[in-house]
Amino acid sequence: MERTATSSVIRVLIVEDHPLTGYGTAAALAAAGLEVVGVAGSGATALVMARRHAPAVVVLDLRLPDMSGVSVARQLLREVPDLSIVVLTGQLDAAYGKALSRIGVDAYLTKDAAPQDLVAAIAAAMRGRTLRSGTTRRGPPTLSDREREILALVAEGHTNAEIAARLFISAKGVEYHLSTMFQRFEVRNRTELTRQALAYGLI
Amino acid sequence: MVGDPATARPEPLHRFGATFQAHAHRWPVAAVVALALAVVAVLALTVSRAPEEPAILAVDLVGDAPTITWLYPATALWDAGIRPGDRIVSLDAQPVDPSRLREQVRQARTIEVQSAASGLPIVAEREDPQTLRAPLSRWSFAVTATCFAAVGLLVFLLSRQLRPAVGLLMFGADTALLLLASLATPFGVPWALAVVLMSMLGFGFSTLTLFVLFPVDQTHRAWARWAVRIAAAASLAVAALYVVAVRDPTVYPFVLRAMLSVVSLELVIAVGVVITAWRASALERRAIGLIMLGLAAGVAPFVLFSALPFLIRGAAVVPPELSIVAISLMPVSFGVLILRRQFPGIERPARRGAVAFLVWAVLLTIFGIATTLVEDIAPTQLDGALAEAWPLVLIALVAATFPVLQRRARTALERRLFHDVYDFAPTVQALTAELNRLHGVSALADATLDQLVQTLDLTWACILVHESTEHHRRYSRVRTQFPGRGSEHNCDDACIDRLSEDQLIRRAALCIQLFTEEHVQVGLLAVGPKQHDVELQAEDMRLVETVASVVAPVLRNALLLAELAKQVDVLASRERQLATLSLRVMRVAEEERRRLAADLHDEPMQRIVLLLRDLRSTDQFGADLARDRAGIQRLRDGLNDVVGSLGAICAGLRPLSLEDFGLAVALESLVASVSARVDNAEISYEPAEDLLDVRFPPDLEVAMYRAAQEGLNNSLKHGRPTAIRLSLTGQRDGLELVVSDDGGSAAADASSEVTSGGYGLLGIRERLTPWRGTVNLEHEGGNTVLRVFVPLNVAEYLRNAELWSALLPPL
Repeated sequence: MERTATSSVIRVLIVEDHPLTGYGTAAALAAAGLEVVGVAGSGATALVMARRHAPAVVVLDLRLPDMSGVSVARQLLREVPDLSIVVLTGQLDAAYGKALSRIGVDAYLTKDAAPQDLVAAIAAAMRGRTLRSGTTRRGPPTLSDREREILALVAEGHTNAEIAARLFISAKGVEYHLSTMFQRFEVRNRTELTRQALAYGLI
Repeated sequence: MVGDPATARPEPLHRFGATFQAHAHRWPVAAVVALALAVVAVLALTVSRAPEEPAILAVDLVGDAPTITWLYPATALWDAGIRPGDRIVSLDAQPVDPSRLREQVRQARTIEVQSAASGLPIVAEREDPQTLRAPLSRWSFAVTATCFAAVGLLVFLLSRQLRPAVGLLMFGADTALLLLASLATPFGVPWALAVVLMSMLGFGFSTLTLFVLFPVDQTHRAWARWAVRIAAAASLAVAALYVVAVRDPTVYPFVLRAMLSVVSLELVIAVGVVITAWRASALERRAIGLIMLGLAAGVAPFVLFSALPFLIRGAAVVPPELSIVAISLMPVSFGVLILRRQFPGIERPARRGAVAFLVWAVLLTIFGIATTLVEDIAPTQLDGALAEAWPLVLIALVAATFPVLQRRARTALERRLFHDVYDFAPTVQALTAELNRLHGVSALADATLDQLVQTLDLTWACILVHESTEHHRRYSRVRTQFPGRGSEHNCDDACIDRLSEDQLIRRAALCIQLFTEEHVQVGLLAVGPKQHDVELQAEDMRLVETVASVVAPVLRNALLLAELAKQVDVLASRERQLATLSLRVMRVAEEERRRLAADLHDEPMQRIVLLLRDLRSTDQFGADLARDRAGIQRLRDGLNDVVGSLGAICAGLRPLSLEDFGLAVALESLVASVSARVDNAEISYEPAEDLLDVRFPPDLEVAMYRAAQEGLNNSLKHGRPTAIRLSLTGQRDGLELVVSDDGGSAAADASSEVTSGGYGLLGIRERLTPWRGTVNLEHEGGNTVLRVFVPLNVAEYLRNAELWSALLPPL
């Protein structure tokens, strides 16, 4: 399993237990000009295929039927230390992200991310740049309109319930957006979030 | 074969004093002593039966000169200074005729000698031989000597302890020897004088020994034992000197003085021992009082009625023979004392014997009178043949009725007089019947003890029941304080319960381990001494052993039943607990479902319904592109909200970071998600760096995570905190999770303890039970602190994490 550094085409292994999602992702990546060496449905298959095809990047779903995606990532990195791994996950918070990067994962994205976000993340990972959910450390995170509205109301000191009432969304929805923003801004609470947002001039 | 179970009968642990065990090995010694005494007695009596007057001096011709070869000391001649070896100058102022020297000497009243020592003449008058002879009356001496010897031999043969027995044997034999030899000495028998001197020494020594060995603890003093040794040495020295004195009569006075000094000293020391012991308990005082009484009663008659009048040259009030016999009271008092303290059950056979004697005497008298009356009347009316057979008929009648009558009368009288008369078989049967009727260990033990104490007239009895290997329960019965015999066996109620098992065994008169037939030890049965007797009889011991063998299986059954009942109780309560627990688990599950349904229904469902309604408006799409785009944007936002809601619900149900990265990371995620929910409190959490890569057992991680979740929820629910601090630290001996807030609600703990439906501290405790974790909720000032601690070898987990990270690639 030697890396084909000379090749300009990026070889990608997709690890995903839902075949439809897997092949959908594969199609999207192939359309973007990447070479998909295979789609593995389980952790064990992933390890075997990684050894056989020597991909440069592994797109890894953390929910696998046989073993934890994290341990698959650990094992892959132990065998090929300069392998790039991009993780697809449902969980999004700062702690989780930090923990992922601690084990050597280059980037991670939520599963609902657009295919071009994934391609961008892979490209960034190949360039050796850590990309977190499409956001780099250097600039302010991109925010949706809903997130901007919530950020503004948080900065004004409204409670979740008040924000939910104003925006005609649920309190759980507010929570979700807030925790996503905590993660992107890498903060722990709303005070820090407000401070960061002000620093970036987002409010 | 090792330990055949059938033959391995459990033995009683300890017996206080075997009963009338005739100490077989002592018989030869006693026989020799008795024989020696008999020989001396026969010799002395033979000598003293000689028709001559008692000779107080022996004479012989040494060369041509008539010389005194032997002189009885303690006579007027001796006092005047005449000694063996002196030459006789004249007898009754007549010159000595060598041919009839002995006859002359026997009749002479006044003797003149030339002292061999000084060469000076000495004239002395003999006392009347009759006065000398009277106090030495043969029968009184013989009776007193027999008394001493008999008591000494009897005690020696029967006493449990050897040393006092030997002491009393020496004392009795020496005194008897002294008295017997004294019978012969006035007749000029040299061996008798030697025997007298030696037995005198022995008397002093044995008296001292007896007092020192006297079975009263306080007399066993070191100095007393030394005194005995020194006395023994002194006696031996004097005896050796006497051997010299036999060859050289001039040494004799010195020997005599030395001997008297030694004996006097020994007697003084013996008195000293008594005085020392006098300070001891009432028990010892009573014993010493008895000795003193014996001594006084023995010596006083002789001194008052015979010796004193004789000394002041008056007439004896009582014949000296009688008053000498009174001295027999001395050994009797010793004997009684030692028997009372040492003779197993001597009291009871004695008094039963007395009862039997009384009954027999009365019965025989009645029989005799009746027979006489019948004989007076009957033969006159009977024919010849029948009249001849009549006495046989009478004898047959007496033989048939006497045994029955005497047994009936004796038993009736004994029951009336004594406390501890019982019939073996009925007693055991009654007890067995009662035990079969009773239930419960304590009832059985109490019944057994009552029966034993009452039947055997015991001072105390005690049953130790081994309820388990480490737990022994004690049941005891104590009657009145035992008045003054062997203080080491006394026990009052409190003292019985205070004693250790060993002490109990040591104090018991009889101790029997309770074994069932399967050789399971159930406990211990210990009984104290009797109240009105000294020792347990062989029959009593048999009764106790039988009772023990009866009560052991019954107790064992009762113990098993009690154990069974206890376990049934435990099972029942465990079942109740399980029922409660399963009810709670069901409630928790129901509550979770209800919450989940509410969450799904309230948030994503409503959103999707709204989105569906909005989608219907897409029918009109196409007219206004800008409006269409805004509509699509709204739909996308709505879908994002739905995903967000579902994500939040999923994260609450099962935190991914916990599974993937462990406790420290998951707590960070938890804090972030709770922070997103909470508006008015700042939640801070600094994960301990060393714990970040550490994985604990999955169940423990979930338990700790839920504990943290519960802690945060509690803080937010029960108080109005502005700051909550969460910390997880690995300590030397365990893992500690602390949730502290400044919301300070005193009601927090109460309500969270009570509402234990899976959300309170109880839920946390239950989760942590397998880990032996502890949960504490404290209020420090306005702060509420929840402390969860799980004992754990954190260092080992840290090492594992290091190994794990060593396998990781460098970043």
